[in-house]
Amino acid sequence: MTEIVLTTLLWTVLITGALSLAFRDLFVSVILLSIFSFLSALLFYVSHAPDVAITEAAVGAGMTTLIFVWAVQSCAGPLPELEDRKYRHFKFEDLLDLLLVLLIGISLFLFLPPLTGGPVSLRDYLLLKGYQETGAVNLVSAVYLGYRAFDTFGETIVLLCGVTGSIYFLSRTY
Amino acid sequence: MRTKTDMLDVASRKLAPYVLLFGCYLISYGHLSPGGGFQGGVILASGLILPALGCRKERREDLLSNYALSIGETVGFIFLFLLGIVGIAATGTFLADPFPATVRPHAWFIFFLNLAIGLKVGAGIGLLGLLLIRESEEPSYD
Repeated sequence: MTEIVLTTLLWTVLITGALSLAFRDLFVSVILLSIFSFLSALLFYVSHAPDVAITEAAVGAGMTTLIFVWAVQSCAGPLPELEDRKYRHFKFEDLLDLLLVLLIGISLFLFLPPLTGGPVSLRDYLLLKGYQETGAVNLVSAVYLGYRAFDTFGETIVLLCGVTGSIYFLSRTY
Repeated sequence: MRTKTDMLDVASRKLAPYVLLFGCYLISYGHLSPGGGFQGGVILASGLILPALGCRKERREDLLSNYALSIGETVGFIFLFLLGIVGIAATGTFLADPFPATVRPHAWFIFFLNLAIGLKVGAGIGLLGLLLIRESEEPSYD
């Protein structure tokens, strides 16, 4: 059952991503990317990663769509009415790009680290000692706020700088 | 906002309190169930942006002032920094758990870190979204 759901979701994610490249209207692409993120969140949830699923649904399907819609609305003018067609014409360079992305994906898949040794012993240590040492039942929280709180602090500073810079550029007077 | 449909009304006004509640749940139960400061903060921000999408342009300033949101972000960051300082005072290491291991339930430090990060991320991303909405309405001048 889980395998059927996983396979269906993976193919739907692939089809949505490919469709978002094919349309000329960028709003259609943005909405398709939002659906892509939502389906990815479902995929993460089915694969027993609910933390990542919540993040993907909130950031990918929510905030990124808002920012993309704003960017499309403020940057793109009306579509040139040269021909009345919905889909893009793919050029040779586009196919080269797709081929490059495919090659990178395949090579990353080939060089995945093996699931023995370091990762496995780390996982066993967390399962055994994580709750005792940090007090958090949710082991993801135990890692990023208990063992790696300093990394999270740095990440927060990066987010603070990003938001501050964006607010400066958005709220200045022209 | 020229036309107001039922769909927009439901999505913006009726749904927003539940989204905010879910964000608070994710932040305050981050040490027990999936979620945490970042996820809950972003969901809080979406709950702040939803009513702004539904209401009229003149009412938007009354809803939530940008000043309050920026104060919220700053307070969240200072809270996080103070938690690190408390770690120095208690054990000598920055951001170390200041509570002794005998305290039950002993996830208080992670709970407070989640609160600080949730406040900071929610206010920051919410402010960013509100500014984006206003910018898209008046593109040529402030």
